[in-house]
Amino acid sequence: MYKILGSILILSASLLFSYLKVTESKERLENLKEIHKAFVILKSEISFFNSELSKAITLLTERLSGKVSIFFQKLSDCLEHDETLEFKAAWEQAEEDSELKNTFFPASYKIITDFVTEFGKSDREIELQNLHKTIDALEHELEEENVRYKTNRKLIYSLGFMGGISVMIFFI
Amino acid sequence: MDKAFHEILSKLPAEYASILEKIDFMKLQEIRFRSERPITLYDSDGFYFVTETGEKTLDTSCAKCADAEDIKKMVSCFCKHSVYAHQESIRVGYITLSGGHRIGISGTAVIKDGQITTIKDFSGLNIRVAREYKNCADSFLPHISDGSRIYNTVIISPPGVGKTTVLRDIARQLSSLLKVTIVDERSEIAAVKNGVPQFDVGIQTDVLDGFSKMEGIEIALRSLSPQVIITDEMGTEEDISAVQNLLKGGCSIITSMHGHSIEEMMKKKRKLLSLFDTAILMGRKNGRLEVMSCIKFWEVS
Repeated sequence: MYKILGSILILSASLLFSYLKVTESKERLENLKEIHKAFVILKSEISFFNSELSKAITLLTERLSGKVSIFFQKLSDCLEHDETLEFKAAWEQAEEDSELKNTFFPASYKIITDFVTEFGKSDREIELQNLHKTIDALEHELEEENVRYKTNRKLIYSLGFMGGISVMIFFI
Repeated sequence: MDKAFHEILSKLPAEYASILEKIDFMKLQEIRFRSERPITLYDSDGFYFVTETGEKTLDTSCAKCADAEDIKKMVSCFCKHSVYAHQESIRVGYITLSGGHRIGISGTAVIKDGQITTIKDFSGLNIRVAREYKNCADSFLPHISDGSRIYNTVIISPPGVGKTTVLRDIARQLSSLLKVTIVDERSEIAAVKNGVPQFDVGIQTDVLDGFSKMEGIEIALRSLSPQVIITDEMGTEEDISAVQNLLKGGCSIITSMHGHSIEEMMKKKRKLLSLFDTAILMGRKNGRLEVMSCIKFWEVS
């Protein structure tokens, strides 16, 4: 009786662990999708309305969701609170206050930080070109991560299940 | 602290803001930053410098100088770190801050195909403090209207005397009776921010913010049916055709021009001035904005 109960507990724990890992991976993918959406909105705000950065960022917060929205809200607050703060410094300050940095894939994080460093210093044509390149790079990253997520999801669940069975056999 | 001055200080690097917050801002008209030279402040009494501790001085040796790198940073701050959003105005040498304060920029022109595309290596900034003086146009109103109609009027004065301030108050006072449209090419008259004028321009006033005079006047006539159009700083060939169109539309115009006397302007800008009914030379007397002289062209002819 105890052996059956113990086996069920071990299997449940390993499956739960797998589920949490998959959820974490999914959240990263969702964040990447939201960031991609943010950059697309930013591009249209600059392209059609020629909006200043702080105004465009404020608008973004209303149209995004989850951690990315909270991050952009903090970024907007930083830019509004101290008008002398550069975009990169405001971004870093907002990042410190949020968990967003840890929820990015390293490659996509690099694409974003490269953009942030240079943004706001050039004319509209160049800014739009940079935004276009960043969006393209994020799209590419998104496709790759989507494939990786689907493969890894199956793998993690299988690993969790097999791991649970192995531990079960070991204890029996 | 004065709201207008606070707006400017909030956009300056902390080092300069802490020095300037100690000065007497009530009379302040301009702050000039020139790279590696003393920060110069202008008020109605003249000019002076400031020390590192914010004291007023006329001694250049102890005056605080502006750093070239800081001027670059200031331009970025004034653009809210969005140079792309201000590239057109930078190209023609200015940025307008929220609150209507105009920042004149000096530097090196970048030329492409014979046209100035932008300014680089910023060497100086001229911050003009915009303020609202209600009823400052009281002495101007009898020269603008005979009670039954509004004359097409041009207000002439040298730069920095207060033409924009007077135009703003004229708009406010006329709008209690008439439909007024302000074509605010440089966002100085109404200082619109997020669609809301930061200055009181009156209840019946529409503002076309950022429109060129030519386009703004056309749009106003087509869609806003104004009785009076108010705009700032006329003088180009394009402005002449804009005023001609406006007069065909049966609307009145009140505008301003840079100049030292009406006679001088009649020589230099005869074609443009001939479209107006009245020219007013404006000046300051004991710090107050006053009508120095006025010519009604129909009386002269």
